[in-house]
Amino acid sequence: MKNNFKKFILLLFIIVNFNFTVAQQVITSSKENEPIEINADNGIEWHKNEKKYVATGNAKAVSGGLSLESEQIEAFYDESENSSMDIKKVIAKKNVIISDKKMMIKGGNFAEYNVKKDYFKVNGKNLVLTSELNTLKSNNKMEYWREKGVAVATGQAEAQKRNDFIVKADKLVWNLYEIDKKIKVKKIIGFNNVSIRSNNEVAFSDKGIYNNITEVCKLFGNVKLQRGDSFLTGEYAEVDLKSGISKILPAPKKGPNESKVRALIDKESKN
Amino acid sequence: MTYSKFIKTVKFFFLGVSIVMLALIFINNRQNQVKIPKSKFTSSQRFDSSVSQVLVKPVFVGLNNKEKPFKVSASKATRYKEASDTFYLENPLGEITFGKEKYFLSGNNGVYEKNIQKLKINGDVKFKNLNDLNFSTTEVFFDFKDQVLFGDKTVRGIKNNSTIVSQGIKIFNKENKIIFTGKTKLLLANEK
Repeated sequence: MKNNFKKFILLLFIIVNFNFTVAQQVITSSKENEPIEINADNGIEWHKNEKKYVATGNAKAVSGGLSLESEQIEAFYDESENSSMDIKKVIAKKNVIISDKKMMIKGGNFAEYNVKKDYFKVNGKNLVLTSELNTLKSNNKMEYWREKGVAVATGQAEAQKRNDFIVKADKLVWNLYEIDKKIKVKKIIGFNNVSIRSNNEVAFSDKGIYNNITEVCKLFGNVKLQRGDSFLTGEYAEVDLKSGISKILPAPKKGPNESKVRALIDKESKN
Repeated sequence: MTYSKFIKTVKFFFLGVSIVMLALIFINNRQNQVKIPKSKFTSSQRFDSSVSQVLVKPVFVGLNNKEKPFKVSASKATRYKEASDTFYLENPLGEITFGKEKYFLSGNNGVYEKNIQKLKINGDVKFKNLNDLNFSTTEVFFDFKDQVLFGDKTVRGIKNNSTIVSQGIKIFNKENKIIFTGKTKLLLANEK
């Protein structure tokens, strides 16, 4: 009995430690203690009434591994009791480039960084986020929660991994994690008008979740798997982009069309 | 020659003599006049002759356009008769009320233009106010009338752990704004 109790405590200790280790894998920002350095070619204006700094001409703000470049950077601050300045918001205008541990967002006309929330919002017509082998594009808005490790592209969003696949949707969400001081993609979640184009297949659905580690994409709602002129439809599918095997399966959640699977086979192309 | 003609001739003669004398005085004054530098602010030359006045520990007090007081003092001030409103200062100190703030300036040398209310300080120049950064540079100008402080030499500012380095500075009282001109580097660090 005593042995069993000891084993239980040991197991509990392992589980707690494992969970703690997993929790540590989110992106570390250490924004509180990092100083902010702002450089500009054409000077910096200090607007004391508005409590802001305006840096113009090749302006660059750097804090730890994070940097923000643009034509103009405005940094808004709060004054604490000991009259030190705590930067609360940073705005960048024209040719915005955000870099964070080998991850980069380019093509922004306007960006806003909320220091407390550790959150970026970038607007532009040709936004591109690159992280190692992956790219995320948008023609409207990109958001990035650094500490949470989440990037969201809204408006004709497109995610690509090398030449393996392209995911398109109205909104794409990247779940990111940090390893060896590099930011990598863990999951890609697509909302509305989702399409996944791999080398031999195109899949369509309302929602899709791609796991970058297992390389399996789960599709939900109005699923259509198309290979050549043949296609399968259903409410749920799993596409294994590694093996190239796709399956239409019963929907995990009960719905009106959960078991309806339809197939249209193009005989000509089969022959 | 009649008597009246003689009198008239003498009158014209003396008139002519007086005109010639006036002309000679005017020419003589022009020749003696020392050439004043293009900009009184940029004057670095000292008049080597005609010292008219040396003031020990002078204090100049005045009011600017907005009726705000200012004070300029020095360990020594020299005034030359050719530019009676210009004082060449040694170890100048300036106290200037700038809007709601009071600035303190110091340096090795300075020039104070009393009539146009302008002050130039150079050498090891330091200026600060009670709340903001402490600045150091090699040359700074202050226009009391327009309430503008400016300089185009490298400026370093420090406050607690935060620093700024720029190629020049402009401080405008009206907008409560400081412009660090040229290539600028600002480091903002939180208090530990």
